[in-house]
Amino acid sequence: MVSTSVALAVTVVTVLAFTAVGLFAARGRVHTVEDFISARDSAGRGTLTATVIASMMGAWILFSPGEAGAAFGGLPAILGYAIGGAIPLLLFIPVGARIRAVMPAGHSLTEFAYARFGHGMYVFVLIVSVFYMFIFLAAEMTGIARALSLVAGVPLWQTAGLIGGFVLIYTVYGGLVASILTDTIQTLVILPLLAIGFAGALFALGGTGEIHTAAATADPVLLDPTFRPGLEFGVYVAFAIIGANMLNQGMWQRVYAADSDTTLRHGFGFAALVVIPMVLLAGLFGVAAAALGLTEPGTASIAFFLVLEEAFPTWVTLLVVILAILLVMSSADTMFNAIASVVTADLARLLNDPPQRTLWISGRVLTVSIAIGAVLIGSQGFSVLELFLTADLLAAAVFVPFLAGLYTERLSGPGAMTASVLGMVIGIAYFPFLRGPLLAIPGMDVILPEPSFLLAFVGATVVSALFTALVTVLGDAQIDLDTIDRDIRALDEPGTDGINQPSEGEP
Amino acid sequence: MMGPGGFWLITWGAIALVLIAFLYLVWALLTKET
Repeated sequence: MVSTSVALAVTVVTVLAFTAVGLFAARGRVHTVEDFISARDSAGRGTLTATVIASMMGAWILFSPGEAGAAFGGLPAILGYAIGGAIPLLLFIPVGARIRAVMPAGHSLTEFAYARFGHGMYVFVLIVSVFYMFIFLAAEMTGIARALSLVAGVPLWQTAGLIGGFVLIYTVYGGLVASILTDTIQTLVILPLLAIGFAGALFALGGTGEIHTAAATADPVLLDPTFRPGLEFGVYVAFAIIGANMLNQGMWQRVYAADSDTTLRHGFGFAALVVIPMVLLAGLFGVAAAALGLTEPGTASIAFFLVLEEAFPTWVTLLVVILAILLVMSSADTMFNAIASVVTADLARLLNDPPQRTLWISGRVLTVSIAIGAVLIGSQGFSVLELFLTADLLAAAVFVPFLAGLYTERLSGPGAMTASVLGMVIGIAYFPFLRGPLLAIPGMDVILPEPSFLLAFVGATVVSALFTALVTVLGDAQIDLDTIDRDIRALDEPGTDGINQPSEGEP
Repeated sequence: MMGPGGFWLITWGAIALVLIAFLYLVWALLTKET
């Protein structure tokens, strides 16, 4: 095991270095609230690819794919996980171009929900989206705190506090600009660390031949691409990831950050291709752990670290600690700014053009509040898997009617909401994690079907999609998509934070 | 069941793709955005 003080020192040096990069990169570039929450048309294809990869690939890849490989179905489970991770990024190619065409001056997905569907669907999308993003953030803090506790015995609160605190410093100062620029450098470090780390593990464990032989002997289904439970896991996790990411404001911000539609296609397309081998590699650690008999019931989620302990010398473990910290920092800054941007953009409308100072203070106070909440949850070491899957389920029910609003003028707000609610009802009826509370309602035990993750996620998406198609064909809401952008408020008056100079007459 | 050749290919293929992605990003950042 790495000593606690060495791990803490590595953590401090890493977070300090990237905080300095974030502060330096944003210096003199954030003049307005618009700059703080939007980086419109500023990212070329390299930057966009890197920031999309960094935002999506958090510390979760060190836990969940390995767990899938070790406990949920071996190769087909991790292949489904990997492909499921790529699909939303590929979907963002046409959907992102459409978002930019329908609402070129927009900032957030909730702005679109309000302008396109009205109050009801707006509240729905706001709750589901912010719930998902906050759970993602809390899961990241929990993940890194657990990781450092496992490899070096670092107390949970110290890890969560250190990383959350330093990411907060550069995110509050530099907003989205700092997030995107640090993401770029973090990705350039993460990719070789992951590849070299896994190649090193392979050599240390005796090569692919040794692992294959061990897996074939220990549990042949680990290597069976047609193993049904693995395939089912792959399918439902794909649905879960797609819905959640389509309602991820961090991705919407990066759609607007692309400097052209061509960059958008290249950036999201290439990021999708990179996500597949990244998740696959992380998942293969789980297969290796199970094959070598390193996992026991209850330890599958730390399969990655069990292999690490078995195969790696201390200095390589420290490299993985850096990898884990960078994965968390790059996702956490995205989520801090994404949640703050949703609320800041909405405040501009709800308060009917408040002074810039109000928006500045609100955006930053919100970022600090979100960070404190995430650090507090992360330092408790809770299992957030159930909350994560619940947030994913809600998103799976909402994303089809929500995105359909980009393409059809016939779908009404109540129609989209009804479709989402129907999807949720079906999803919740099958969802294993909500079975307890549902059975407390008298008579439910008779009507509830057998619980199934697959039917919950696929059912939520398919039923909401079918109802969306039905109300689109039967109804005609006569929404004029050409006028959506008219309701969007620009937020580009200079700020008043003492760093960025206020404009004349600004309060 | 996947054979040892398939397992070798999927493992080293993934490692190679991650490294290629790294090189592409370096190239894209140096040539397209400077």
